[in-house]
Amino acid sequence: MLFAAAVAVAAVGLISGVESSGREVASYRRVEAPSPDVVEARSYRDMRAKQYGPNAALPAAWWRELAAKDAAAELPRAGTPAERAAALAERDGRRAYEGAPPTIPHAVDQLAAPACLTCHDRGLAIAGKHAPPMSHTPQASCLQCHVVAVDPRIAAPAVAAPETSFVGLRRAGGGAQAWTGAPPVIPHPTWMRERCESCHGPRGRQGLRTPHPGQQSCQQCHAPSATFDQRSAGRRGATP
Amino acid sequence: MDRRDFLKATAMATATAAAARLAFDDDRANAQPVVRTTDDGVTWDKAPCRFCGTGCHVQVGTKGGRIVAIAGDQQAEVNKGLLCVKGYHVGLAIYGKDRLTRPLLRKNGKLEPITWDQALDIVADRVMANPAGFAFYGSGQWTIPEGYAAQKLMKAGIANNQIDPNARLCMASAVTGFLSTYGVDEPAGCYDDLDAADVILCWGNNPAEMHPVLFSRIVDRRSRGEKVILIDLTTRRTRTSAFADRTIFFTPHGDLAIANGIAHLLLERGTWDKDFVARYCNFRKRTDPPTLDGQVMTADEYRAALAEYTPARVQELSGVAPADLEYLATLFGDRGLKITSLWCMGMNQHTRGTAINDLVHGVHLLSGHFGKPGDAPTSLTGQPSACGTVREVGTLAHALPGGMVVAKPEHRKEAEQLWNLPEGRIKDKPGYHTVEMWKRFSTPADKGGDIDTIWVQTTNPARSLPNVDLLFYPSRKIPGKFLICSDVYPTATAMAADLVLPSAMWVEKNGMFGNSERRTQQWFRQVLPPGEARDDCWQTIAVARRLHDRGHAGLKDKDGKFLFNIVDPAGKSVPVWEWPRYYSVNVDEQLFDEYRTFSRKKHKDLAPYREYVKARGLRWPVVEQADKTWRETKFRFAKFDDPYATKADIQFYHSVTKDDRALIWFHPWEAPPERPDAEYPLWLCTGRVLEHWHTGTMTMRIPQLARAMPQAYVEVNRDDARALGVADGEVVVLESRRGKVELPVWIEGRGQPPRGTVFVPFFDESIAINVATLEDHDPLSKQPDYKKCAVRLRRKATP
Amino acid sequence: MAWLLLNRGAMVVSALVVTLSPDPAHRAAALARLAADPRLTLGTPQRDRVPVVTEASSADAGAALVEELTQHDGVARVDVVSIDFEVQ
Repeated sequence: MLFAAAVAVAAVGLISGVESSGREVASYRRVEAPSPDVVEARSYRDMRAKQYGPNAALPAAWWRELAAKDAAAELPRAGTPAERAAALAERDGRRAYEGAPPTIPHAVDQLAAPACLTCHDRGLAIAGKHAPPMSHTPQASCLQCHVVAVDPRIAAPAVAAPETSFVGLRRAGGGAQAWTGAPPVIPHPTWMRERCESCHGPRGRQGLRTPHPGQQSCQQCHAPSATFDQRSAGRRGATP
Repeated sequence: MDRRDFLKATAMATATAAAARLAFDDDRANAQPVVRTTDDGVTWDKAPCRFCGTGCHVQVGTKGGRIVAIAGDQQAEVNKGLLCVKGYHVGLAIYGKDRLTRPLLRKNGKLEPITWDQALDIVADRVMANPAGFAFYGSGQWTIPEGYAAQKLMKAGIANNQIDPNARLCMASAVTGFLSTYGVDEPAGCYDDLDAADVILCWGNNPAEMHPVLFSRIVDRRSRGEKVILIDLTTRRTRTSAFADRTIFFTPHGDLAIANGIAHLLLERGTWDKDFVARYCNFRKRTDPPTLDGQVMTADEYRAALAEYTPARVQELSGVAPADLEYLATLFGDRGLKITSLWCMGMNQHTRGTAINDLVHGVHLLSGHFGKPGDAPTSLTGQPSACGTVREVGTLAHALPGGMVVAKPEHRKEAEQLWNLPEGRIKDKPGYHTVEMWKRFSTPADKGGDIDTIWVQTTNPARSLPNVDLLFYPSRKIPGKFLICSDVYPTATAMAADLVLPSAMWVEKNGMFGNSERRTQQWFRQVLPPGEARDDCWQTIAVARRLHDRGHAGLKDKDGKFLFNIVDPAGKSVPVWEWPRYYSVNVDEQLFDEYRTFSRKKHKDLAPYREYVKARGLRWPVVEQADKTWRETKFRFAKFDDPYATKADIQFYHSVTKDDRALIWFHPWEAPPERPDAEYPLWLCTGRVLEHWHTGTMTMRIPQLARAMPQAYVEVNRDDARALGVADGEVVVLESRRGKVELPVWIEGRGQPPRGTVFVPFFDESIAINVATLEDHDPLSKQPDYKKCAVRLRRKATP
Repeated sequence: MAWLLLNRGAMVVSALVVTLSPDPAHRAAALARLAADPRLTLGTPQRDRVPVVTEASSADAGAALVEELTQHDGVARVDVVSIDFEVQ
């Protein structure tokens, strides 16, 4: 509306400013509508209404949750065994075996260098869904190791997953403790798991969260294992 | 224990620990293999990954005789603990539910189980009935000992030279490019170049998906604050483009013009490296018909030949804008920059593959970007051992181990000496190259089809040969043609074969691979194969023994000894052709140590087997030092690192012109054999995706990979889709003059083709895109072009 | 018991690493000679490095022993890792 008015004023100005040239108004060039290929910029007000890309699929409820108090925030406490089991099960579901890179449970941009760090650098927890902070220092090519869990093509026909007899390693136990109350030894490799807060921090799954997130220097008390970290021969296994 | 004993015990512990540290820690790379058991009872041992030519090392975790986990090997220089999604899931590759576990023979159209004895007899029968018509089709996924056994059987035993590998379809043009430029195969540099380069130029390849660990090695430098310029020179937008500083699109086949265009500008501007060329290079032009040696070309002739390739002309031929060409020429003209060129199938699967390989080497030589870490024309290999097995062992129809060829009398003589064969055993006539071999197999005998039996190991030609309805499937209907297939799963080839032999896979057997940077790597068997599956190498030796026992003279050497005479530590022969005896000695070690005697001739020196047991691979030439350690070579032909380059800073000691100089070739742009026209208006390019390996016979059986990419598709440009009236996901018919497939459309999914081009990945056996591709090949390398042919698309609904 | 200890006097226990010559012939002879020497206790050889524990009556005697070992044919070098002094 405003724009049309501006054009009108300008046109009037132009016409009145130009000495009669005998040319018709209708012959002046019309302003073209923007090409449909150009993606229109969204205003902040429209952000929720006009979604595109993978975020378009986010439920509306999540936006409300974001606006509300962070529902996932609670005081640090040790997880219950049930919570722990549930957390481990969810973790294991995304990993072929303990130590495998997890599959991505949502759609991603297949072609671009994806902006994974947007959610996975510090992590995000909304309405019970959670984007864990990545457990390793950021690397440039995320999709080299992490692939989507389901077919990335829209309108793709369902294809059955192949059967396999592979049973992946699972580690259910916590780390060994020298005595009751001692800080447990880290029961997994620290390679690609340098950022403990990914699973054990306040944005991790309840059940794996540490009851003492205030202490930032984890490995001061929790010893890594040289055998898990490929630094020691340990007990010799089978050698031909 | 009293005080004295305690002190002595303590002292002994200290002394022993110190001795061990001194003995083993002086060279981390040569430390004892870490076979270790973690706190959860898992045994870990090293192996190279089963998949691509990068050659990452993994740690395989086994428990209860099964693989339960994989970890990146932190001690491996190649990947330093990192893997890609295929590597992380390589342990699942052996556990698909439908592993082949019994030999199968086709009776009345159906595959029925038989015993190994029966199966081996059948193979031997076929050889004895017509030895001249028996051919071996092998693979760049063969281990080195497997390839060596097949090589010896066909070149020294049956001696008809009819052995060729699937690597003919992937690396042959890289080989001819190296041979015609440097006189000897394989890259001069290594992966260390990636750490030192200022500019990485990708010529028609997609390393973000195909060599992911090498790619992240490059892009992660940026996270450390290093400046590295990544340029993607490509025919379609890919994930590599997403990371590139500059993406330059070119039309298919235009790479020839671009390389010439860069050379043209270097000459015009005078920014070529006159000193380097004067000291280390000669110019070369083609003969007619073309040969690998070529003929002398003067500098003036070279300049005159390039005169045509002005930026305007290059734009006509390739679509590259003059500004982009000038940008590339400016980079190459800057001696202060270190430039590494990377390429793979875009340049090799090319009807002028030898030419484009020569031209890219030529640009580096002309501009002096060679011989320093970071300055390297580096061909990347697709398969895990196309280098180690095919190229170095020489499992090609014209080749002998160690870079020798059957055509040269002095080479045959040397091979006969090393193999202790009677003079004249090795024939001088090369066998048929892959396309020719399969063509003759698919042609009736009375029409010149003189190959009647092919034994396929470790590859899937029914899906990977070009134009399969010409080269493969007709053979299935011609009586008298017999196909033997050794494989691990019921692949399309196995299901079409007459005899199927179940094989052991990866860490179910001992093995060795050689990767893209000349690194030979070793592994031990860690789990047992299922059912009656047995090592491919054993199968070859067992057949050889059958032939020997039936009196085939070729299977004995000059002294009457069996060609595969494997001995125990006391020197007594062990009948390893009896399966229970096969692992009573290390057959790999004996075959490899026999094979390595060939490796000195062209300075591709290999160390003894036991050195590879200790290391995470060693890059040849591996040369013994005075203190009995073995030193690998990172940068060949350069005096600062290559012990064989002694006469000058850069010495091409296998020079074609025998004067220690490399050759800068001129090749003109020539049209491809088939281009889009009114009837078939689109270019078809085929290739791979990150999740899947080749024809998907392994990776499609891994749930995480198959779910991430369950089906092939045709990548269509958005505007083309609109013009054709096809929607995303719609099933269309794609056809060429040779065949057609039905497959769904994916608009700008994993890649974005420009208008007029489509892309189809070949990992899906149910969508056999190679019915449409063209079998035309490079005249010198005989490698076909999977990247260019003409197709059309129509909606399935339309009749 | 105490008498034995008194009579023994000061005792110097040294942990050494003896590196053998790369020449296989010399190496075998050297190893045999070391093994036969009653003053030395040999541990498990690690490649070409042999852990050796010696016991001497004094620090000087210990040093002289190390010097003597270094002169052996087939011994490339001797590293002293630790020395324990027992003071009465």
